[in-house]
Amino acid sequence: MEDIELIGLYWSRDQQAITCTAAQYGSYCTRISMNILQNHEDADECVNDTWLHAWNAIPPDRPSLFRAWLARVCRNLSLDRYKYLKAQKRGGQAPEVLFEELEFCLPDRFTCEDALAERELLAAIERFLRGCEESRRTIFLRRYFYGDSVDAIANRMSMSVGSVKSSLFRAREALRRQLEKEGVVV
Amino acid sequence: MTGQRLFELLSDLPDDLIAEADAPRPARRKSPVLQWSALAACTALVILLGSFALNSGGYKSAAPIESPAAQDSALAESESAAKPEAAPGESASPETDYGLVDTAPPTAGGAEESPTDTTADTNPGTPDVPGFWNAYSLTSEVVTLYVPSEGGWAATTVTDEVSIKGIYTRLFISDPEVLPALSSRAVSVLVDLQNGFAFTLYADAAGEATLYTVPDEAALTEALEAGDDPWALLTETDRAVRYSTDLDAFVTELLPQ
Repeated sequence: MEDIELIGLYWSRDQQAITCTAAQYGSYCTRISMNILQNHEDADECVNDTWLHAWNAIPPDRPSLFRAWLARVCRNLSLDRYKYLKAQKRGGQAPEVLFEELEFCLPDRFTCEDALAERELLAAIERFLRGCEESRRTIFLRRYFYGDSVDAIANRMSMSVGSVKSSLFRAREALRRQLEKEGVVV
Repeated sequence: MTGQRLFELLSDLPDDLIAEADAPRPARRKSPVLQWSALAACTALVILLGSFALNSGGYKSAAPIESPAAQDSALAESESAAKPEAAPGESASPETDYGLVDTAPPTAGGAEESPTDTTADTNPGTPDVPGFWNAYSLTSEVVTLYVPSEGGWAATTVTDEVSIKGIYTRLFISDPEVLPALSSRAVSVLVDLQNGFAFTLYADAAGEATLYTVPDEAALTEALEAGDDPWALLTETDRAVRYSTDLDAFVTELLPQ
């Protein structure tokens, strides 16, 4: 089913919308959630919450890229769940590696204390990504948006693991340089 | 701002970027014919570059060609004559037959290189331009061949995995997996085609680089064929050149702007 038809079901408040979304994007969202939570039960819960969120948000929302929209919702819900579990000291350590890698991009003594500064930072990251060549951008996003493992990215991109690691390292370095150059420091 | 917050912030990237990263990619499977062709092309390239280097007047010495062992011996004698009181590892002269020390960039942070950082040989009459540079990054798996030209150095990049494997073999490194144990940084190899031996320059975990020779190429070839450890047959020279700076940056500086 095309995304536009799916969204049409949501707009007409047809409950089949959830069934169809789950059938079409279930494994996709589960993978995103699993990459963050590393636990099937928690991931399934987040994916179900994603469908509920979609049901509540559409309408009035009408996402132009439904797949990416779902990915974002699922990612945010999974991160919320991760933080909750971590506070309960029940969370896994999987995303910590991603966080540590990303922290490398931040210039020394970098603080970003308000929403406005975060917007500026996000805009700088977007400019950086749009300036990258496509394969590097994809590798960066597969790692730091979708949370894919390096092996999974290498397999997906038909590259060696070393090449993926190298690309990620160079991207992080380049992003750090760009953030320093643009002075995105509050 | 923490890495976790930055990770969360990436959720707000535009949909088109997120969708693009999720687009299906066509499989990139090479046929065996293509792989063998690439290997053959790589071999041809290495031979071609070597011939070019030899014919481009890179060697100024009119001295007869010596065997690697003989040259090492002569070199050692020359060095002991040139710096009789020099302590091991101490720099005796800024000169070097391969120009490594002369062209090295300043150390990171603008710090002066300590006297023990470089050890240069002063062997007179040895060529000041070698066959070619072969610099490659272990992590990027991109091999760059540097050949001397009139204006400086010309670079050719090889990214094909099979070709790179061929070059690894050519450079006496049968198993690239062993390299991370030796080095976490870039590796450069200086090949002296005229005398038939190679210097391997690699950076260790501390960021220092050491120069090696291959004194017995035939034994090395045998070891490779037998699956033995090739590194056991590399000899650390007393002409070790140590850098605390990034080797890629060093090689880049050699290239014409």
